[in-house]
Amino acid sequence: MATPKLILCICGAGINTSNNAKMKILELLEKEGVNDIDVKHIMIGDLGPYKNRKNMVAVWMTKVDESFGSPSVQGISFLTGSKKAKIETTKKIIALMNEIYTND
Amino acid sequence: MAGTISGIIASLGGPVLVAVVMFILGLVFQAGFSASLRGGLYSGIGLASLFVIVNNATDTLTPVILAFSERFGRTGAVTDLGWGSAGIAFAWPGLAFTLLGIIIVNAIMVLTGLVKTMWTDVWSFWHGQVVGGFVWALSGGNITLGVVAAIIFLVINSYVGDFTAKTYQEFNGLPGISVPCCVTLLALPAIPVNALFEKIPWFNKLNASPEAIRKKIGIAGELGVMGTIIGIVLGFLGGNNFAGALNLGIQIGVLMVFLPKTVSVLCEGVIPIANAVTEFVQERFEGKKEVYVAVDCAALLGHPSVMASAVLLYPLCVILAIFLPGNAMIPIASLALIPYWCGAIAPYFKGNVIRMVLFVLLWIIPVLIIATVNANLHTLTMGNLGLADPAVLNSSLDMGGDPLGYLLIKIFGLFA
Repeated sequence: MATPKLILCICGAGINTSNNAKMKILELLEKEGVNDIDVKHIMIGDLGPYKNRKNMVAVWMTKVDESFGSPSVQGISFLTGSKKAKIETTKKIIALMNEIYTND
Repeated sequence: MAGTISGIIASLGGPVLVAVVMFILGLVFQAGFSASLRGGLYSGIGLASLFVIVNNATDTLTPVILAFSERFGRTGAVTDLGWGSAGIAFAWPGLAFTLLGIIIVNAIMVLTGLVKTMWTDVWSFWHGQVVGGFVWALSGGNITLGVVAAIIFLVINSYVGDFTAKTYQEFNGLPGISVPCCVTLLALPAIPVNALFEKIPWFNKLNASPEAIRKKIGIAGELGVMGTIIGIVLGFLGGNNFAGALNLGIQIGVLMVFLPKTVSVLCEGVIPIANAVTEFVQERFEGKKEVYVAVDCAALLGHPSVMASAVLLYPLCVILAIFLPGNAMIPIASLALIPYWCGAIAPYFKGNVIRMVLFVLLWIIPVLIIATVNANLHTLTMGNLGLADPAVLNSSLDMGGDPLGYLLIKIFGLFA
């Protein structure tokens, strides 16, 4: 059984910014007809348990922390970008997810 | 007439009121019927759940804090409600007027070139809304005075947002953003303090590796774990037995983990409406002016130095608060604010953890004192809105201890 696909939206407090991104991504995934990816939002201080999790793309609503080691996407355009930019970022996340997906 | 309206408002209560207001605002800004309805309901649910956590916290924490104060001969005891203060923002009767008011004022200021920060992050209005709530309570229910104070506070923040925008954009790699959220005020004192630090021999060479600190602190860097540990220690110091201290630890853990969760639910209700406002305003501004898009200060917390400084600061701030003369509040729930402060100052100290920690320890001194002095008004406002038991003194670092907010309260107090 493969680890379920997860998009983890990260911001400072896990209250507003990452939550906003999560809601946009969920909406856009539905439009793209993708229904096998879970989306969560989280505070940056609580990332510990997600380190080395498989089949996960980290969407940073802040500076990307390369040292965390997960496949990462910069997601601030979910807040500041046009509709087109939001769709493009979502597509980028989906493509990255498909690229890293492993079944073991 | 005004009496009847405020009577109806008071009998409805904050959660119902915020649900109605958010639903109507959603319709006004064309978020669509079902999105507006869901947004309204989640705002109400979030605010109601915030009450549950705040009341649970005051019930369990207050006796312990009182016992602790008595044992150590500290003056008075103020319960820290942390972001429970946000409840004021969404429960006070000036909510809709302030929200529409700042959108209009900001739009005019952007179009006339007075500011570049296009403030559509409706969520972050809450800091100004709390100042408005304080002034409203202080003046015995003058909504107009509260709304004016709230808008002035937010306008000042938009200037601070402009001033700090380029630095935050470059340091965090986030082009086009601005952070008008009130914590960015810390940037102003951080600049001269860093210049001073640069001049101190030996000290100016000091630095610490953020990665090493975070690795060493491990799970204690999570607020739930850290809060539980602090609770157990306070429980023992307050004279509890073994089981009592452990249980207090878990209770504080509940506060640390679930307070942000309830605020997040409230936020989930506000987001669709906030996004409708953003689209509504953006469509009208598109390409007309160079603007910065306002985002929450949570976007500033990505640099590794931020959380490394924060985890060092959690226990240091509690210890400092215990020994600080004139302070009556031990910050526990408000510790969640510390990473925000660190995020706001990180670029100005170039991510130097030691300097950031020292600066925050200096900054928190006046904030704790203000939070203590302001506790009466904080408690009165929370009590008037039915958010917390008015018999127990409460406050918070954000917004109870906010220096700019306190200044406005004092100025507007003259008119009350």
